[in-house]
Amino acid sequence: MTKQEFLQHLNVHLQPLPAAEREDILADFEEHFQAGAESGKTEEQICAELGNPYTCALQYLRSVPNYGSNAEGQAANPVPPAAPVQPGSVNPVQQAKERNDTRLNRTLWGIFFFVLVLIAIGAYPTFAVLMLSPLIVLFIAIFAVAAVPTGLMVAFLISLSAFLFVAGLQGIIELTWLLKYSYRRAGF
Amino acid sequence: MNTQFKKGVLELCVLSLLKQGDKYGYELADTVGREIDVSEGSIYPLLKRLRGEGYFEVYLRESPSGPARKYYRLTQKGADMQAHLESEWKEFTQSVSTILGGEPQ
Repeated sequence: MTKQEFLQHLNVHLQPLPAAEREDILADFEEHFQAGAESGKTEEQICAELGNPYTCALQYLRSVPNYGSNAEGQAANPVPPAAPVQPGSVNPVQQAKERNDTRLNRTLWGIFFFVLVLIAIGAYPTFAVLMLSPLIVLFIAIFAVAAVPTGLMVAFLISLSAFLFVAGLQGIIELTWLLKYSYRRAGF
Repeated sequence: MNTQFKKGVLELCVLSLLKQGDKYGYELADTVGREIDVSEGSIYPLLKRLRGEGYFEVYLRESPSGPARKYYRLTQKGADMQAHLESEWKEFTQSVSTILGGEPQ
């Protein structure tokens, strides 16, 4: 493996970390290759001594508290929840994690929003038709009531119309609310 | 050797090397890698974590050839941790030696 390949692999596996942190890590390895070359080692040799870039990246990811669900990693890096934090100093790892979370969440809400838009294209006309369908029911009702003029039939038809109208209205209101909410969370 | 066990020992090794004087990443990785069968790549995540925990601070110093290097300097907290881990290590190896039937140190 060459230096370039090693750094590339490392960078790919470090993707969950924020860009600044990744650059910082890669710079450490650049320096390592530089120093190794100065002491007369080939890139191949240095890579062999460094080991697998994936294993290496995993160790960085594990040092982010609660990253993934790797029990071993968490046991290796216990972070006391009530760790005394000196005023003015924010735990950089914690900060990175929060930044990461927000970014991931935003992406997920963004995807959710687009899926909702696709659903809405089909769903809005459907709900609209559902709201208008009581008109058809009432139209039929005129003939039905004429044929079987009972109070029960009238009550049934009226409640059916009301149900269809409310179902369509509710669908439209809920879908609109979901669209608005996911749009806001995605932070476009 | 057991990986978890080795990880704990690495922490002591790095802190002890820095107790002898400031060093840059390659020196630490190279020295540890030569003595212990471990991938040198795992030293850097360890350095980052220990730095995050405040055991040492870093500064840049020009190297005679090439760009500036990142040097690690042990803090008081790091020195305390080193002493603590070292005494734990000695106690531990002594107990193991006793169990193995060797002469206690």
